[in-house]
Amino acid sequence: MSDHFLQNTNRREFLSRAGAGFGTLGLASLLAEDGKLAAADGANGSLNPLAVKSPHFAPRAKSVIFLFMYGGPSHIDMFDYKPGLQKYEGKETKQLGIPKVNEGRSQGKVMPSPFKLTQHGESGQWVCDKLPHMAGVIDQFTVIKSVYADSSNHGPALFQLNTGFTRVGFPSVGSWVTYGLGSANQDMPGFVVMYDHRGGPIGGPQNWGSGFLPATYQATPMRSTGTPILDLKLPGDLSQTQQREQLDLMKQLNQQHAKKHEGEADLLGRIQSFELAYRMQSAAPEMLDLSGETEATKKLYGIEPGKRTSYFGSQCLMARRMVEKGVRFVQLYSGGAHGDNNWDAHGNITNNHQKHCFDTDQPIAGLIQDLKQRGLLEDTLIVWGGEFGRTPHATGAGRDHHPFAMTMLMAGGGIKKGLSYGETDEIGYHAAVDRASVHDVHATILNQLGLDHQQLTYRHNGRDFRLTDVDGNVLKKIIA
Amino acid sequence: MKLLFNIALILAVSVCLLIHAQGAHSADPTPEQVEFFRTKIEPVLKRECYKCHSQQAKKVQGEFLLDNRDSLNKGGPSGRAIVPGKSGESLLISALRHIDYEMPPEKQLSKEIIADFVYWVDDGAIDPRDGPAAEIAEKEYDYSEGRKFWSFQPLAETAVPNGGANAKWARSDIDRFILARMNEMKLSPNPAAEKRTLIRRVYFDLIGLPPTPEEVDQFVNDPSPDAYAKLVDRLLENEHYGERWGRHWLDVARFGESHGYEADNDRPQAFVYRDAVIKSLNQDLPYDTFVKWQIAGDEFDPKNELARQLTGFCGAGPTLTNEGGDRVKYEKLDDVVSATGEAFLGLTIGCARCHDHKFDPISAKDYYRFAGVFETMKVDGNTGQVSEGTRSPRQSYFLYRGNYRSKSKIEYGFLNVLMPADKAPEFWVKEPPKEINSTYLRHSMAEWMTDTEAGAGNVLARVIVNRLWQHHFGDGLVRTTSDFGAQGAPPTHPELLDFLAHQLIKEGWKLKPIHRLMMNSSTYMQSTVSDAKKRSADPENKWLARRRPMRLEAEIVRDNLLAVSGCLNPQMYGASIKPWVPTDAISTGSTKKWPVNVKDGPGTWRRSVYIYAKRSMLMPMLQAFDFPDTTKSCAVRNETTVAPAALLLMNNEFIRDQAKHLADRIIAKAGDDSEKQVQELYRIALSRPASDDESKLGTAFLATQSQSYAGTKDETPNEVQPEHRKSALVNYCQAVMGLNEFIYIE
Repeated sequence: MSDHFLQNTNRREFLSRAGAGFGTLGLASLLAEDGKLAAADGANGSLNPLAVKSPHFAPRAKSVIFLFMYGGPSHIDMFDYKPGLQKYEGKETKQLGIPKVNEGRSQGKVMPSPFKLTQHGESGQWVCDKLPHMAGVIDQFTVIKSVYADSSNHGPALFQLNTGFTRVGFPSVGSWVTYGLGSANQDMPGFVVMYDHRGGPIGGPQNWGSGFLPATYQATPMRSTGTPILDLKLPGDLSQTQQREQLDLMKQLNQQHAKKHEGEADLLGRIQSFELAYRMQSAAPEMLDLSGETEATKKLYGIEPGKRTSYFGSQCLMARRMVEKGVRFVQLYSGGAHGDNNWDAHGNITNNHQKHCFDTDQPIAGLIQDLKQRGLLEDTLIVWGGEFGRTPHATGAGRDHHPFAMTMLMAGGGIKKGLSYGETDEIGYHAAVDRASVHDVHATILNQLGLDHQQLTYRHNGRDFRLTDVDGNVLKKIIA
Repeated sequence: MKLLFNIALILAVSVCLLIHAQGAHSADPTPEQVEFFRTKIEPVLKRECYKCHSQQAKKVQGEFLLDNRDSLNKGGPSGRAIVPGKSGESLLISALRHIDYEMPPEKQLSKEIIADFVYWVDDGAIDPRDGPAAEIAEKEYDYSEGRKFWSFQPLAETAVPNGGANAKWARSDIDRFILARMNEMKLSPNPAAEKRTLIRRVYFDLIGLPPTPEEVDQFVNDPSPDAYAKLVDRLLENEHYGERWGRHWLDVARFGESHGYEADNDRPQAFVYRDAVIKSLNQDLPYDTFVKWQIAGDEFDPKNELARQLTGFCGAGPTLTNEGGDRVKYEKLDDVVSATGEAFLGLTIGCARCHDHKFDPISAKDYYRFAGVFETMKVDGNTGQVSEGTRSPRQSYFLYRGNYRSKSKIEYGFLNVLMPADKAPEFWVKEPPKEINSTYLRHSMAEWMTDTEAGAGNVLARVIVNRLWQHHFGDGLVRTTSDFGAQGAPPTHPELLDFLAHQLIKEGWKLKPIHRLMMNSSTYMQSTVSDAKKRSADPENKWLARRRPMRLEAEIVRDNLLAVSGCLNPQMYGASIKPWVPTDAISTGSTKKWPVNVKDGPGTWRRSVYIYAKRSMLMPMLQAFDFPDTTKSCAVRNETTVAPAALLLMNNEFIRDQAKHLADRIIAKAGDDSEKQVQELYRIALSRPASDDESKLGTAFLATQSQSYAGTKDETPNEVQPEHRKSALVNYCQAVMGLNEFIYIE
């Protein structure tokens, strides 16, 4: 763990735990002293909504990096080895006596994986031959093979993985986490999303929106091409002091305006966005500048001129730099826009997944190794997954959307190493053993951060809402 | 744990062989076996199953029959129902056991009966009932229930409510409907906002630009009782109206100026459709005509340029161009079917592509019938306009489960749920005139869609008046403005919605009278004042007892800046512009997407509706304020408040430049008197004078900042150089341009 992170978080967390009233006052004054909370309060004089808050119990992880494979990566071609696919090759799924086979989006003939899955590491986890780098670090992971979701359409499925609900309007996991814990780095957003250079996922910002939580908990998007955050540099004819005065004036006027419109959350959210923006100017450029990284590090992530892995590699390296500096929740999207630009392998599973496996394999393995060598992996929960798995049967040479079974990976942050958790049926059609719902996955993420998913609530329209609705069980067996 | 059943055996034997085996059996069943079937099995089938699974059934369920041996063997879409000798592998048995299917659905049969079936299957499933496996007639989809859903109903005629508390507040029928619900909810309306607020509201709402200080003064000082109504009328005739409201339509039309996907090649003439939309609105083209021409302008009025240009709607979506074949064809059809359904009818027809719509009465067959209408349509890759070039419809296909390898023939059609049971598409189909080389199918669809008697006209009217309401009031009466189906929100004021739809039809589908009606209501004119009680009683403001500040859309944020700085070039129409963007927003190697080092000036200081909508490189400033991604029809925009948007207003060169122009404008008017400068800035940017407090804050800021610029040059406060005072004013202008009051309109 880097010294910087240690200092900041520990100091703040100590203060915030040192008794409610005193703690928060102490925190505020400390931050003010640092010049960081100079204007971080809301319009009503309330404390900074992103101030560090105590978790419900001792956390195992401080940050989360959620690697979102948009489009639906195929569990059975990557991690969930199914000899049944060969055994039943060419058989109609609907003739296999599979429960609820009719509720699937499509039917077709069982197709074996075009890839070779073999066992790796001491744990003997199955990994496909298109992921040689991930195979090398697979001992770090728990592979959860029994996740299931509800929707076989991208939009609702994305919303469910991100918010727990298939409908729009609910806060995303990252928003809940920053709401629950605040941000350990007041100079950066607590929740950052970086999407793929080919575009954003269906539903866009609703996937990382704050729903009914205050607007300040929505993710800050980073651009995927060019500079991640534009306009970080002050204009040449404006000094920092002059800009601070501008912002102080704006804040004063905006607060007067907001008083006339109490209850309008966006007005407050926008006031806070200027304060965050101001603070980001000093911290973000350094954080987002990869030029200081050694060639060896860049190579580890697959960042090399002209190499396709550079895209996701840069995102992963950026994510490491962010969690190193205390950013709470980073979500990276692999795959964007339409068709084969993401993992949505309808047409041809071989071509599609070969490409996306290649693009992400070395970056993800590099991230794991790098976090590990820096002692950050223990405090960082890595989550890997998409919005659904893919059908064991073929649609053409591809596979269709399939929410009945999918694989998710977790590593670091107090998760067991080298564990294979849960099973699907013979061909990977249904999650079968130790079935894990999306709510279970969410409950587990919160748990590792020291948050009890049943206690983390927000009152909205007269009801206490949770990320996990009225459901969810922590997957205790995967916790180290 | 439900692992797969051991199925190797069944799979090894083809259906054909099994039927043969069964045949051999049936030739030689023992009398006891036949007797067992006749007494224990057949009566149960007749009693419990035939209602849904026989040729006598009113409506066959699950495409599965069991009224003779071969049908039972053939099974349904889930496969064979029984595997003779293997009860554990027979769907029929697992369904009776309620394992996967639950049959019969309501009740489980007794253990004894199930045991009989198990015995029967294990004993070879002897079935003496001969007869060919019946082809199930096209599955009758039951629309009669579906038609009962509120949005498919004819428009209701509801008497305008009258009286009740606060009756005097109402100045129009709209208000009477609103007040009735408000009274039920025990809420009281707000009084009208003050005139300065009103004029600003009306300007941004109708033309997306701020009033000039002179226009504000004139309105505020006009004592005539119809000053407000005149203002609304005047702005409805302003040509910027078409730009403002045209942009709303371009959102639902998923308008973009490139093909999308990885290559994302340009469509340099796509702007013609955008211009046609703006022109149509400005001339108040009746909405039914607007719809007809967007679907089939080439067929309705091929000699009319505007009609042809509006067909650009059909080709506005993203397209794969570098591949041929069915996959691309059906992607294109899906784009136009989905967009047509959402934009015009508020229906997510696209959800029925792979299976019957889960929530709305739209079957997968309806989807492919609907798509069949566009089968012969050819899209011009440059303008997005469409034509056909043949008079004979092409065969269209139903894709089972959306799989283009599983095709069966199907006739084109419209949505059955939106036509009476006794009507068929032929009712609207006309033979194309001799001179037209086109199938006229889109013409027919548009006739059906705008037909208020037998077609979808009522839905069409409801959807568009709801969109007008959405933009005037912040949310639609149906909040899901492109989903009037079961998954959408029900209307908060159903009677009012129908009243407005009636009005639209009465007005010959002209939109301007509806704008006028809405804007001349007390509901619209309310102030934004609220208290905790009002907010907690109605946090989402469904009952409209107050008005909420509304954030300007991305384009209007930029247009507003250009307007107050005095830079706005009002030139309308024509090829799209690519204004300056930060160099580092353009990724390496993609300079073809957006030019580098553009010098902004009058040529790029045009309204943002004219900015090039390049799908893979949307202008960063528009993106920061939630411009839609243009890949799908967008009904409601996001409203994020993220730090990158703040950074843009703090540091972006364009913003700094606009602040400088604004400062020049102020100096030209107010000289270098700080107090006058503050007042002038407030008048220009916020349409009101600064309060004493604000004036003090402003002048103090100007003093401190000029001093800070002068400070390095040893100037005393009295002799600060003009350029330092100007720099201070620039910073002040920029700060005001970032205020919430500047981009949230009361």
